[in-house]
Amino acid sequence: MNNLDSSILSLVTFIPAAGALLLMLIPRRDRDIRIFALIISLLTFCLSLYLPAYFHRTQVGFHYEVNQQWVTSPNIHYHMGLDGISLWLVLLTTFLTPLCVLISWKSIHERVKEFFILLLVLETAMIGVFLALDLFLFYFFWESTLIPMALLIGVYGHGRKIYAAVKFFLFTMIASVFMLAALLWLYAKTGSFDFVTIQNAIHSGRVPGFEAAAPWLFLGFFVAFAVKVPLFPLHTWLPDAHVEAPTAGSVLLAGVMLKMGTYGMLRFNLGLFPEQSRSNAPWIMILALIGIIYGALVAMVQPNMKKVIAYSSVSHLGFVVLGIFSFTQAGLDGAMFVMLAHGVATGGLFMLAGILYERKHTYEIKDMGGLATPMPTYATFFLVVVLASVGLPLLNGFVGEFLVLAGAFQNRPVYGILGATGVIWSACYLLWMYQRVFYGKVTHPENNSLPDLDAREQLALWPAVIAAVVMGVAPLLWLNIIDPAVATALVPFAQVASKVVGQ
Amino acid sequence: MSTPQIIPVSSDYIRILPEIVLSVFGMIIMLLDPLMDEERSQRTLGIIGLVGALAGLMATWFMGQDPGMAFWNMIRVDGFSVFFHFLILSIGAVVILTSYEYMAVQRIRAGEYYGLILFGMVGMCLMTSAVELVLIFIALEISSISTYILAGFRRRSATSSESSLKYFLLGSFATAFFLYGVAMMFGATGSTNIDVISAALRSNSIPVLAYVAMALMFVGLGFKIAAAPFHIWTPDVYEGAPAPIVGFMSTAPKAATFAVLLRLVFEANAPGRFWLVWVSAALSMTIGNLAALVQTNVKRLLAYSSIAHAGYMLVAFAAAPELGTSAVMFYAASYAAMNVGAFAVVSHLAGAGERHVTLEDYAGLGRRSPTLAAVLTIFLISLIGIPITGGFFAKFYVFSAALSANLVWLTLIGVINSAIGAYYYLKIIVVMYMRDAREEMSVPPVSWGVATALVISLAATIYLGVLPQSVLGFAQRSAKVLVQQPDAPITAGPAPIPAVHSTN
Amino acid sequence: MTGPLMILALLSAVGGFIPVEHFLEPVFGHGEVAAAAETASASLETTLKFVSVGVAGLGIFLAWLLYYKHRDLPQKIADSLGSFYQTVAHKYYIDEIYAALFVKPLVEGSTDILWHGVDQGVIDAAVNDSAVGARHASDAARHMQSGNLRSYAGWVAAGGAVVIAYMIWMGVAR
Repeated sequence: MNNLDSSILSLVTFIPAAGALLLMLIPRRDRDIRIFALIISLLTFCLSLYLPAYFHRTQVGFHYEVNQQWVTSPNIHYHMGLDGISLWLVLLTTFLTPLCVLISWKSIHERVKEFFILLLVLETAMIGVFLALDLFLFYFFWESTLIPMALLIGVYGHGRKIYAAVKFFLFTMIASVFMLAALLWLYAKTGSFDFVTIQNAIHSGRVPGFEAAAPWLFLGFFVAFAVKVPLFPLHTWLPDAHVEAPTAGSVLLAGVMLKMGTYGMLRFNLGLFPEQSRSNAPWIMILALIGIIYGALVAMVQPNMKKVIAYSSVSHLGFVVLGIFSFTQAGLDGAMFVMLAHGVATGGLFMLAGILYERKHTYEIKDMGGLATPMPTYATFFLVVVLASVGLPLLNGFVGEFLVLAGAFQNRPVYGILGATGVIWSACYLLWMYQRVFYGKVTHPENNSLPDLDAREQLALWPAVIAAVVMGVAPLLWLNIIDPAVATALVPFAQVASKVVGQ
Repeated sequence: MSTPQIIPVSSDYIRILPEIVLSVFGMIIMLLDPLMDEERSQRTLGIIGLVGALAGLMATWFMGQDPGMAFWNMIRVDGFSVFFHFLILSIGAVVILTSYEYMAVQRIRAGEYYGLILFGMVGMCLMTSAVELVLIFIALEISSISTYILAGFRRRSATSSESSLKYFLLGSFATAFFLYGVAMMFGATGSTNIDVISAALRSNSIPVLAYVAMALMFVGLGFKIAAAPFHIWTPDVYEGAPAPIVGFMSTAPKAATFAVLLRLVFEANAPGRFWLVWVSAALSMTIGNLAALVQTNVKRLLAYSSIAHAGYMLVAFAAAPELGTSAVMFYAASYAAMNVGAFAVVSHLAGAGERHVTLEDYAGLGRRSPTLAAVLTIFLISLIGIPITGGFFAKFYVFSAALSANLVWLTLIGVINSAIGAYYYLKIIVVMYMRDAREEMSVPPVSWGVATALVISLAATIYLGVLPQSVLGFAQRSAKVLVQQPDAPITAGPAPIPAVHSTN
Repeated sequence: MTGPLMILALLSAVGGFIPVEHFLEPVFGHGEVAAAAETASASLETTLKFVSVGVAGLGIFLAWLLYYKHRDLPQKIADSLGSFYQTVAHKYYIDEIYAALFVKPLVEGSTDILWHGVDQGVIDAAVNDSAVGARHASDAARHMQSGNLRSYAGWVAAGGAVVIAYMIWMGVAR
């Protein structure tokens, strides 16, 4: 068990990439390719289950660390590590990928090999982002997610896919070069890329010229993450990218990649620049609130179902940012939980939308209507996922949003109140969409013959639904690990921490 | 009182062994060319050319075993010059490999082509080990004249002749600036030897003439590396010249000229360089990237991109000597790998008469020829500067060198430019994968020469991206030696001929 | 459907007589509060029983009268009450007021102001305009290439002149 400890992170990260390399050698038999991709992604998921199983809650700092010199000059290390904050995000990634493989089984029928190669490479890059503890390595994995996702959108998407792919790529890349400048500055002044080393250097004041540069460094990192989250007003790449992407692309984009931004804010902005975080928090929280309400209101009036879900992501991630910058135990716990809950719920929503697209080749709500009649099982799955997204108690959305609002309220009551209205708005747009799509009479006669879910689609949806329910009724299973890590992250903030998780 | 030596010693010849080997092979080619008949000559002469380049590589290794001065302190063999020798010879070998298929398709009578490449490499290699300004000038001219002729090799095409003539006229104009600068420097410091010049320039009062000399030399050298504001020739010349030669021109002479610049700036400690380099770097990056955005001709697009990359390399010049030198060396190596590879693909796809060099012709390449498209995509990704490729580390080292010297604004301009620059490389990737070809043009199968060239470039690009340490370490050690040079005593080699310093 | 209705009807009729206090003890306790309120007296209890049954009976009688015996009566009552009847029939127009006051502004505001106005008009327009701007700058840069050899030489000479002038200035300033 001991030697697995030191190599488990590398295994989890690179097995998908190894699978992608092997896929290049497999001859073009579509069925074999799909099965192989499924096996690889399931293997990664099973391996990643090791991580929470052997996670010692009492151990402070990073777990399963591996730290080896990669390049001596500049001083880059292959330093990967896990703590309560990144553990569940890694699991979210490995959980969603097999589901994506299942959901793309029939919908991708051309250039199948390249699709799954890109998907697996993307999985490696995303896992690497969450595990990297060396700033250079982090940037390396961060940039590596761009090309696979851009290709997935641009080649396998529909509609204005090229516009969406290029917009996504350029928007994100231009924002992340500011992060590159910031981390190069930190390297130039501290001689190391290591996160822990830099954090210690900053806190003990050993970084020359830090006071003058800190606001800019904070902004450099923040801009890159803010575009990814996305935070209003840098969110306009999201609707285009989400809508035109293939289903698997949308699931991973919404389910995991957006969390890369919020994870970055938590780990780097709060971890490295606590002073600047505190001083910038007011306008950031206002932007988050605007995002929550604006995202919800715009979602309400979208005629395209996927756009509704896309704007709902803007709204939900606003909650996350609100929680993070409230600097309270409850707020951060809630933010982490919303990240996970949103990943599961919105991933489910996109999968459901994709299933409908396979049948009708349209996302327009006006082409639907009364679908509960021909597709009752589908309607039920959809209802559960919608309610999870709305934040109904007993489902996972509620726990996270409640904690975030508690934290926001502690920070400043008016923020909590405004944020709480977000729950109302999300019910508005989601339930209204659900009603227009499923309830009432079947408005278009051709919808009467739509086939209900088959076994494969159900196999892809059940895990998401079960996860939504289990997370909703037993959130402590997750919060037990998140809470101590959050407490450590909040140490520089020394606010009155509300005790969320007993003992 | 010792009699001055007027006959070079044997170790002198070893220190120019690569140049000798290349010249010999070049002359063999020129002699054999009229003796052989057209059909078989291309094959044979091409092989001889390749053998010559490989022999040059071996000679370089041999030369590197015994570093030191040669030919009355006119030539210095050190890690720095060995690095550039390897680089230039490898570029030459890969370009020769690419050319076999190209020449056959274009139906150009090979002959002098391979000889000229070898002669050009003689000049470029000599430039990197010369520490005597006049010798640098001679080497510069050797390399330039070879490339002038090579640019016009597609004799049946008007654009090729136009590009050759433009290159020749403007190049001579710029080299004249350089020569005048050399003369000024002699007037200012009393010597044309870089070591002596550097000692003179380290004194407290630097004559104005030295500044003017530096300016003039910068004009000449700036022209060759295609730095703004002397970049104006690049798009036209690159568009007309044969594609493998563009790959050669954009990498090898650039690397050699950067070596000369490195010697001048850091070894000779040229005065007043900071703002000059700063402005030139910023302008090159901006103009190169902006103009490339709307290009539809792939060769022209890559020409503007090479202006931008010259800008990135110049950024390192504004930084500290040691860091800057190693960053430039690494950048030269990785840029060579990705650019030569990209042009190999362009040469292969160009077709007879170079008909297919616009973006339209690349549409749907992902479907027509997936391997070729994937290979080109990796080179383009490296040019953008995305991780796993050499291009990423290259940009990274340059920008960290700049930040270590507190050049925040220049770094910001640099990183924003690389982000903007991503657009036109991405455009090619988009066209290849996301658009469909209008008519079903089939891509001819890749010949062994192009395939070998692509494999070498691809391997180099990825190697530099995943394990940059070995190359970078070598560059850093060489840089250290270069920068400390004026303080180190002039080692092996005979005493300089008094005649050089007699007149005043 | 009738089966369950029958069961419900039966329980409705006799359910009140089934003693359930003991069963409900975990929730309501042993009835201490009820015992304390006992003083409200049995007479009040009996009165309330008769009043509620009476009201129910009155309702049944009215329904029989209006919808069975004199079927034209409801229409006559409605006509005589006029607009008041209309208002009540339309649930005091609360739905319409709500729609006009809250739903319509919200939906239209979101569509016109937030979606088309801000999202597409301001943010997306800024992004797309910057792309157009980059294209114009690119065109400007590329038109520097006139193709004319002498102008190229002019550029080199001009650049050289600037560089030389700067360097002279640097040299003299030292």
